[in-house]
Amino acid sequence: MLNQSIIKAALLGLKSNKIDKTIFYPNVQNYLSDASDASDELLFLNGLSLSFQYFNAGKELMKIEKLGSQVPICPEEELSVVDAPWIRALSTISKGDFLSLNYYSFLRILAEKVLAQHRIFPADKMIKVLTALQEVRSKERRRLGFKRFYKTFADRKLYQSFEELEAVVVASFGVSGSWIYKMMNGSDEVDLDELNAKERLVVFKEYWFSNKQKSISFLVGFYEHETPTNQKKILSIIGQTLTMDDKDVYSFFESFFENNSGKRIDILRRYFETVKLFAGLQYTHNQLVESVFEKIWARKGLLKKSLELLPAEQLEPILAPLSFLEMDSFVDEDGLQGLDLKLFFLLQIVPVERATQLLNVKLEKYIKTISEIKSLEKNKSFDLLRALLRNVLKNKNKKIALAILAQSKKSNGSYVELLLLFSDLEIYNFLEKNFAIIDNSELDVFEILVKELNCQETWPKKLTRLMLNRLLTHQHFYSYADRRNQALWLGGPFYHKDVMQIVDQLINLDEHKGAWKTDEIQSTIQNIDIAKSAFNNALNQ
Amino acid sequence: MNQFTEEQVQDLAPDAASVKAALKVYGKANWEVFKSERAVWSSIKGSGSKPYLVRIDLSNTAFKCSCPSRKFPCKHGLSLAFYLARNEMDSITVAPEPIWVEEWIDKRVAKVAKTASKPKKVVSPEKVKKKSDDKWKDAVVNILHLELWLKDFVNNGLIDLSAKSTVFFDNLIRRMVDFKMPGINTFLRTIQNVNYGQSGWEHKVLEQVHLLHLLVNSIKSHERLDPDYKKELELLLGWNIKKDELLLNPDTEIVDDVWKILSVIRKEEEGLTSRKTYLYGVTTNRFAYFLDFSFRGAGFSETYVKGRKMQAKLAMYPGVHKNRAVLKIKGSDTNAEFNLKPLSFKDANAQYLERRIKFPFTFDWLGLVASAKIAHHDDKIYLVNENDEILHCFEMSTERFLSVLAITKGHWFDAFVVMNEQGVRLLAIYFNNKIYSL
Repeated sequence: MLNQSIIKAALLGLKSNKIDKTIFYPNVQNYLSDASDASDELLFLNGLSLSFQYFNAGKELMKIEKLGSQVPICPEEELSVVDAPWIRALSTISKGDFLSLNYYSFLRILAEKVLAQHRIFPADKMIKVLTALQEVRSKERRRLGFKRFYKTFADRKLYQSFEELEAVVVASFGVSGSWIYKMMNGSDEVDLDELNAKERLVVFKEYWFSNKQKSISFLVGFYEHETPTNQKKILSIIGQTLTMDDKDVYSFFESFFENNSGKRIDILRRYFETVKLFAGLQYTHNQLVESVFEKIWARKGLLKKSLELLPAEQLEPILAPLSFLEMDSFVDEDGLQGLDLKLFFLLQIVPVERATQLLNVKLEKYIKTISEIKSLEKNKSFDLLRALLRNVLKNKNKKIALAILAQSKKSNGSYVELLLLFSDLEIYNFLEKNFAIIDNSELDVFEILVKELNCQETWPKKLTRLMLNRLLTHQHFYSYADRRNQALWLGGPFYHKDVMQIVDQLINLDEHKGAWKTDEIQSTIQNIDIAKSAFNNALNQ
Repeated sequence: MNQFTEEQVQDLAPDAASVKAALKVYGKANWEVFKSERAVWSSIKGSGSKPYLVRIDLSNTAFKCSCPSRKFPCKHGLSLAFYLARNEMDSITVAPEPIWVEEWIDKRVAKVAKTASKPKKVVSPEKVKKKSDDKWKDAVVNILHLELWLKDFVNNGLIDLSAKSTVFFDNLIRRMVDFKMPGINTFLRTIQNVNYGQSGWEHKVLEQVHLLHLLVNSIKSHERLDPDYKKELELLLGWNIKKDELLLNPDTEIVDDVWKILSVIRKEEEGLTSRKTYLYGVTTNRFAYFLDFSFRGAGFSETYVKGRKMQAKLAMYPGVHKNRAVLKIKGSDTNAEFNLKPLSFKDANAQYLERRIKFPFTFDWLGLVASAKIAHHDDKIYLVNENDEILHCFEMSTERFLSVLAITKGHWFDAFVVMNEQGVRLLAIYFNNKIYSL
């Protein structure tokens, strides 16, 4: 670069400033000395040109230490294109509850690239990729991630069909895709400024559950500027696992509430108190909490005989032991706020056996009463039985699970997820004994057993037969759509030709008959009998 | 195997709107495509009563369509090319060439043969010399205006430069056009358009002043200049050599080689599209580029498909660099072995600097650098070698960066580059015995 003296001389001009050749580099001066009789302008212009030449001649290559080693060689692909972590990533994205924007934007770039030119990932590998991802896709295709993602590119109309586009996008995954991603980003750091509110929330959730320090930095940097909805949702996320040890979180919010005010902040403050309450309860899961729980349960003060809330003045003394949890926050003109929430929480955290022991009631009575408690707050309703269900799932108590299921067998059967605690065989035995649950539960049992338990592989044939049998003998019970869905779910796990034939027959029957006519019942029954025997034969083979 | 990639088709389009229109045609057309050894053709329903007859010359890429569009290639031609990019050649039905295809191809073949066998009309060397001498004689006189202006410029200093009206430069710029030295205006306009808000503007202005000073001196002492230097200076002053003149001049250097088309860079400005096609002679190791222009989508007379190789004789412009060329005879697209001689970063840099010192008006140096990786650092993209020496890749999009990463996967590769003040522009890479155009 030119030195400051040359630039200064050039700025001021030579008219009123005599040129001094010492402004040039010493080597340049030597050349200039030969032309000492030249005019000032010429001396300057020559000096300038020589300086540039001198400067250009000495230009050396720049270095960045260890930059070369930051580009490792991409690992060889184990599968042709797709590797397991990326299938998992894709699966996670497609579930919609983890919308990692890093993956998202990476996908976008790759997809655009692939759309523009078939270079990175050759077209002939796409079919393999599609096959590998078929399973993931078929389960999750209706979910948020895929839908949103595809739409963007479908608009481009560069491909004739959705499927083609999907194949291209999917083909973008693989070891090399993952490697390129790392090369581009260096790390998984997310630029929060680039994200929208929903995406920021996802990022915060990731931080909160995986890296507390990052989540604190997030709070410090962004919480104040977050949207009101996000502010509330962040508190809700924190509330899921906040403990008394999270001092940084407490001190952040203390200072946040100290430095901010207004109606919106008051709402947040109250919300935070709830969160703190939960944390406190979890932390001090002790006699005190249990005694209050006992009082609530024994209706000693909180509830009337009708299981409705008592007036506030009668409640206060009872709640005094909970004063450390700043119960004031929950009292307003209309009475107590958040009592349902507290009860809901207590039911979740106090182990059922401990509760029944404390309350001296039998398990069945306990469950029944919980299912009958009326909601205290008009606008919100908490499913208290569901709180109990979570408690049971958390403590993996099969005995209580069975009791709850037995209680709910005549209800809508929405508690069948308790079956998750059982082995396949136990489920089978239970279902055989408690057929009413299946009958009443419409699709839930199937959805849970087939989709959530993922028990296609291990499902006992006997159970399939049982289910199909029910389907065949209770035609009147189901709508056409339900019948078809159930039949397909049943047929689905085995994809057995004969089973599918029966399914076809069922569907045909429904489609053609609409309402069942007397004169057709006989032939239908005959058909069903034929189907039954075909099915039995198929299963017994 | 596909005849084109989609990217190649996009490169062939006269503008972005044509790509869009071609894809629309592609989507709507009821494709019935036929091929022979020499061509591919189809008829496409357009707005007219008769379908348009579209054909592509396969051996020497060219398009023709019966539609009235003034764009070249038209959207129908491009849509057929998209068809070829998305469908394997093997899947296309072989058929006898219809008359409208056969005649067109025959005409093209005959034209190439005619050009090759055309008797050369040699321009008299005396005439050429006389013309050149006259130009230089005028230049020596006229350049004194610039010399005087430069002296005034440094006498008055740069401090008030930003306050000067545009007339200050415009008068001189007009004069240089009158003096038939329009090339000088490139330097003057750089000074005129300098951003005074940007730090280092003084350096930018002084750099142009220094080049103008050297230019004045070179013109004044032109008789003592090396002939190549002088020729290069002529081009710099804007004394362009017409294509025919270059081809007919017996002194013109002709390089016969298999040329790999490394990169095609287009720039659009006020309806004028300039196209710079970079080539690499695989056996001679020579670099060349064509510079041609198209006004308002009228298209270019020749079609160059990035990544293709073609047997051709190039007529090189005289001068120091001897990179700019025009096509003399174009053969078919072909395959040939490479004989690469890449330079280390250090040697490439040294060669560039040496060229710059010898001829300070060297703005671009074309070359092949060895053993590089591509890396991302502080929002900039670099070529890096095993000594961690770097070359900054300017005008490098994320897309291209991704491409290079995807192709090379962290292995070392050789890079075809244009090196200049800003760093390097990556044209193509050589990896696994293959040249990938970017």
